[in-house]
Amino acid sequence: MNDSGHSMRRQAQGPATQIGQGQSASRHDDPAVDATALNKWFGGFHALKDIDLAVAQGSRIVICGPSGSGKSTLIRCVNGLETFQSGAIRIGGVGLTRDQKQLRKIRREVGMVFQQFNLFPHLTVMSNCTLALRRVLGKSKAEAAGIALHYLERVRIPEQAHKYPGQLSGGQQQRVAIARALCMNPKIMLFDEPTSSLDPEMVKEVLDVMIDLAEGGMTMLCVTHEMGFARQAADQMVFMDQGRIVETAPPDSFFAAPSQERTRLFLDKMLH
Amino acid sequence: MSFDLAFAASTIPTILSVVGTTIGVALLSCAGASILGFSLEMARRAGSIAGYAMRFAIDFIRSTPALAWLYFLYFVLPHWNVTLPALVVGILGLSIYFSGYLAEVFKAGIDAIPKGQAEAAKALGLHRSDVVFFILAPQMLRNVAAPVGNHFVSILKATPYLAVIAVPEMLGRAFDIASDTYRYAEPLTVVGIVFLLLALAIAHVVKVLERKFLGPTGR
Repeated sequence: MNDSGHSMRRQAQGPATQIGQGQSASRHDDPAVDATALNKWFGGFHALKDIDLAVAQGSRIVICGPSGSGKSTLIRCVNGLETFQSGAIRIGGVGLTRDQKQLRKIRREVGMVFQQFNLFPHLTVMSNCTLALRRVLGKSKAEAAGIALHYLERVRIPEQAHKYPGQLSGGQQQRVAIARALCMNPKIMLFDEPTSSLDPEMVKEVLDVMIDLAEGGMTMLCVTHEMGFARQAADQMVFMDQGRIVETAPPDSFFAAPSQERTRLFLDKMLH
Repeated sequence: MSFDLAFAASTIPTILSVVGTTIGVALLSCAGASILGFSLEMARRAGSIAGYAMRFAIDFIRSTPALAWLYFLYFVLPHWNVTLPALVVGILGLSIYFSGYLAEVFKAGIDAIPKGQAEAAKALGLHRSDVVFFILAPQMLRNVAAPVGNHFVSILKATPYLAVIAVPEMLGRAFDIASDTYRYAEPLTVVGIVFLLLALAIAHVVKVLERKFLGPTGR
């Protein structure tokens, strides 16, 4: 992931960048996600500034912050949808690289849910769920269908399996998208504003599924403005602004007594 | 000089005797141009140096006359001891020439697919070729059915070029009749009508395929 164009900045990061170079196998006690001294530029725009974030296995982290603060960019770096110029990300101890084969291996274990659902419109709900099972994990058609149905039941939508995404409501589509990601049995789930493009009456059905997942022990990294969900499901809040992590705290103290003025201002706007 | 219907009718068997060549060349060239055009566009998207090379290849093909390709393949390749039958040269030439245009159509068809589609597929761990084959290509086909149909008609209408490398085809036959009888109106009109019917047939097939691809998702 390192780009020689920013080698000077990389040197300035010091020893932290060393962490990303090794390719040791995943160990049980490695953090699920470990970002160190992460920097990303979009052209001249410094989108992520010296991000350090460790996500313990089983942890549920909610990242919030104003738009343009870099929160989506950060979680898109975790599964390599965005590249970064310096620093390192390790997923279960394995460093993210540009190597396509290794990237695919990591993506198998990192599920992602998008703001726009991104279901495949030309495939049925069932095929949306089974495509990667068959093509990536090499499951048989019957086995893949069984797994898909199991997760469609878990998101309470098995009766829609034969339909196309365009025939479903937004909330149903997003639940299918969650089921599609879960089919791969990921170790980590990334949520990028999963309820932001939903009609208000459909937000709850998606959040309920996410809470259910959190209670099941899934490691989750969520970018969301749903503070109710954050209070209920998160064990760690991260507040970002202008490409930096401003504050990290458990939800209780984060909402009751944020330590940073910038966080307080943001929460004042969010919470009424 | 009046238009002699009886004479026109008498030219039909001669002209239709090579309609099979016209249809065969057109179909194979449509297939060749589609496969080559799609390959060029996918290689261009791979980025880096290959991407620039493909961009140049597409522009180069689109900037050169179809006749130049036919002459080149027919008269220049033999200098390197590559001598192909005229029919093969014709199919190859039209495939190459129209691949440049189809590559552009495919580009637009892929650009119209939301970026999130490829991202979601990649996030599932799908291989690049699977992303293309299972996610991008099917959605692209729905976007490009109409413009591709237009280009297929253009390929059909370009088959008379093959007369210059002595492939027997309809316009050439019509001209032979005209040279022998000094009557141009009748054979050329017959050729025009046959091309019109073939073009309408292509348009119909494309419409049927389009309906099939647009099918059940209702988009």
